[in-house]
Amino acid sequence: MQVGMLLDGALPIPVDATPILLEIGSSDRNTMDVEVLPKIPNAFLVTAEPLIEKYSRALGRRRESGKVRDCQSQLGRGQGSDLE
Amino acid sequence: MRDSLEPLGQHHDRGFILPFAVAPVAGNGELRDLNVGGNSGCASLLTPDRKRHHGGNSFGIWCDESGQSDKSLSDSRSGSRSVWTVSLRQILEWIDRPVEFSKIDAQGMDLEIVTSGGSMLHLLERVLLEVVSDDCKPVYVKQPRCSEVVERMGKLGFKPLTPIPCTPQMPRLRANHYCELDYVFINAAAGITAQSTRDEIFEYQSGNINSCTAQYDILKLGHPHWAARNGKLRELAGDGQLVARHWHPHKPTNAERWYYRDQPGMSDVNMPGSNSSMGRGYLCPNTCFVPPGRHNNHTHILGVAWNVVRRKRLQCPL
Repeated sequence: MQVGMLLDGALPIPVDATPILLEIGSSDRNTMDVEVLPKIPNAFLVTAEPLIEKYSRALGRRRESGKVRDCQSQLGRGQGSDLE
Repeated sequence: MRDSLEPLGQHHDRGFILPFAVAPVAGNGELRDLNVGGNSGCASLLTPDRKRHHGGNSFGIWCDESGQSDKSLSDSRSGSRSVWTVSLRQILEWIDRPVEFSKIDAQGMDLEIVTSGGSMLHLLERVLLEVVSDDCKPVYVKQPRCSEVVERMGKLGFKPLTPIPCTPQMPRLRANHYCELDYVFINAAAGITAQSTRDEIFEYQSGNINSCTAQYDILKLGHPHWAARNGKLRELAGDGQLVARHWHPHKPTNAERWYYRDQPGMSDVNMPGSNSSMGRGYLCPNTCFVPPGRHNNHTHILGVAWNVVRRKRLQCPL
């Protein structure tokens, strides 16, 4: 299963990204994508997390800034109108 | 909702995430067993040392079920999971440029992960490791304690960001979660200095009880939170002294925040989201330490039963 891309053997991190941060072991709390990236505007983070539910939850945290909705989710429902 | 693809493996616009464990492994990687239990914070490639408990010391007891499967519960949370495991050297090769800061929290494997960096360690400039204080028993089999970590990191070219006490300066009353210390190491062999380290990294340096330089009487002052609110902690500190307190124990999201005061007359220094000591010593509640002349853990200095003290949230509320 492909989980990432390599270009010439390296992760495609933007050339102007600095500093580079690395997190090994990332559970649900005190993660660097939540706590550190907002503080350092041009930083880039690489995270390694083997627990698949923590990994998937981290992927779920990603939102493009233009798609963030500042509102509550409906109780017992996913995003949109699908009942889960 | 749009049925569109997300960028592969990105958990942030400025971040990649890889579903891998990191450890010393040969070649490009291998499958390893990760011990898991109900507490995901205990997941480790190491096995809990379940024989280490004694007396009232409870440090790490919450990790004991990791690696033990209980099929009668049909519970897939406990047992072990096969996880793909790569070396730090492999990760650094994929990054292929200096890493200013790495935070490692791998439940006893932290030092071994650094050693797995091998010939690429020159790219690792600073690294945060979770270590066990020398006066506490390690949670996992073969987990090194603080002094051994410092010694072996030194052989790899790393030194502590600030002076770090591996034992408390006063006897610890109970071995609890404050046995865990978060210490940052800098790659001195690569020319990295403390002076070139940004504040966001300093904030990770946390000595917990080990950084307590003196005690104050919590029974006279009341809970440090309230003592701080009414100015009593401010009166305690001399010039340049710091006083640690625990912010609002009833709000879990704030439970690990530490607040300090630098100079009399100044307001408290607020470090949101941090439990850091910033590498500095501070005054701590006397309920964190063995009372003078006492050697048991069951009775408080004034004869108050510890369960009563706990109920009042007075027992070492850092």
